[in-house]
Formats: sequence, C-alpha cells, structure tokens
Amino acid sequence: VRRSRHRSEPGAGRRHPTMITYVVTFVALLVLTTLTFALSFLPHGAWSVPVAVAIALVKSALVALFFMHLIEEPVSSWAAFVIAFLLVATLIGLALLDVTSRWLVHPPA
Amino acid sequence: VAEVAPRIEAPPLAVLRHQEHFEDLARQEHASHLGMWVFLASEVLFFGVLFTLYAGYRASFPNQFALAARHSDLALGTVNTYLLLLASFLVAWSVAAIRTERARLAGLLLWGAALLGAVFLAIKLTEYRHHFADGIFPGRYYAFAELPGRGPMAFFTLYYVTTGLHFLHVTGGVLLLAWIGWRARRGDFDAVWHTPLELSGMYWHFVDLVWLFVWPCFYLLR
Repeated sequence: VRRSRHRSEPGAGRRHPTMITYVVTFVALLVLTTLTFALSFLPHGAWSVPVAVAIALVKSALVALFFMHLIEEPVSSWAAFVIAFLLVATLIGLALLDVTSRWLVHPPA
Repeated sequence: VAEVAPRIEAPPLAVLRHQEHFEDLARQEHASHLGMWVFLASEVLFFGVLFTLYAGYRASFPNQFALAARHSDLALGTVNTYLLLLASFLVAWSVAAIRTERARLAGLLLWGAALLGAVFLAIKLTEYRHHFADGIFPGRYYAFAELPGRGPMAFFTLYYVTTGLHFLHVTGGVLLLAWIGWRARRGDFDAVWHTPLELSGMYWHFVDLVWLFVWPCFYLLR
C-alpha cells in the first residue's frame, strides 16, 4: 500500500492496492468459485439458496473493493453503488413476497 | 555558428488532461470516478430487474426451473466463469502496471483480457447453437420436446434475455479494452493520468460481477 506524495496528484492521500492485493483477491475468487461449484453437487436443502447468494455477494464485494478500487473511493461513490444493491434487494424481496403469498389473498377457484 | 534549436518538451499529461473547470486533477478524477459509479449503479438496477423476474418465476416453478437448469451446459458455463475471473485479474494487473509507469505492459494485459473475453463470447455462441438445435427458443417460439410447459419456457426465456444482455456487455467490454489497450501502448496514459484505463477496467469488472450471479442462477441450479 502506497500513498500518493502530492496533494494535487490524483488519488492523493488514498491507499492504492498493491499487486499482492490483486493476487490474493484473485486466489480468493478462484477458491470461492470452486467452492460454489462443489456445493452445487450436494443434495439441496433450505440452506442452499442463502449459501449460494452469500458466496456470490462475498465474491462481488471482493471484486468491487479491490479490483474496482471501491476501497480507495470516497463515501459518495460507495453510496451510489451500495444503495443500488439495497434497492435491488428490496425489489426482489417484495416481488417474492407477492409471488409466494398471492394465493392467500386470491385463492384459486 | 550553428545554433541548436531549443528542444520543446511536451507538457506532462497531468497538465494536458486537466480541464480548467476543475480546481485540480484530483478533483477532476474524483468527478470521473463518481460518474462511473453512478453509471454502474444504474446497471445494477438494470440487471437487478432481470434477477427479480428470475426470483419470481423460480418461486412459481421451483421444480421445473431445476429440471431446465440441468439442461444448461455446466462445463462450458463454469469454464466461462473462470475465464472472466482471469480476465478481471489481468485488468487489475494492468491498472497496477500503469500506476507504476509501465504503459506497454498495461496495454498488453488489457489485450489479454480482451482476448479472454472474445473466447468467452465464442463459448457462449456455441451454447446458443446447441440450444437452437434442441428447439430451445425464447418466448412463444420455445419448442423443446424433452421439457414442455410454461416453467421451462420461462426459465429459458429469462436465460436468453439475461445472458443475451450480458453477452452484449461483454462484447462492448472486449471492444473497449482492445481500444484502451491500444491507447495505453501508444502512450496516452501515464502513472499520474490514466482515468480512461481505470474506468474501462471498472466496467469490465462489473461485467464479471454480473456473471458471478448469472452462473449460479442458470447453470448451478440442480
């Protein structure tokens, strides 16, 4: 991790990931991808979807933080990107509530 | 007496690329990055709607979705996942290279990533060709005798729309990386100013990020 020397330089005062960070991130992504692949062969249970979503979210966080350098961005950039994910989560959550409970309100004839 | 003409040094990129309406290059870069994050946030919403449809239809047809997903080519889909991860790593490496003033290496790495992206597209086209041969078409043109019904039709229609839009994004990314790689090797960027390279890299990583969700939804579901 190095810091830019001059204040006027782009990225002044911000941390830059080094090559080691990229290699570690890449290896972690490979391991998680292989884990996801292996888990998909296990018999499915109530936990399989939450686990798959959790691993995909961890991988996304790694990509965004280190490959896309979100870690060196100010809070304004974080807000834009993270809020988009929260909005999508809300959308998916409410859509699922509707689809799975619709017949309680309108029972099939 | 022969007079030696004074050599005129070109001003550094940090001076050339600084737009006067920004106080300094750091603020200009911050504005560019924020703009890119807002654009990518809108892309999250764009793909998010497709995943919402996926969640809704999968909740409606859980067993038929699992049956249909078994017909996706798991091997090709998984190879493509690793290809995109490797391409992302090359792009990250390229940013590290330009930040340490190795412009030609940075360009070469972007070309490597673009090449991997092109292989991804070729594999995806092979998959589509296999699906077409089976009569798997989107919407009302769906004619797969082995798995009739609305559930598999919904699955494969969403498969075409989601992977198709992703395909277009990868195509755009490949062209972008090839062009930016060429610019890097021409000497357009240096360690201080390389905003187009960083922003193009962000776009490529985002395309990779979307695939990290497409893959479990459409290939790994058993």
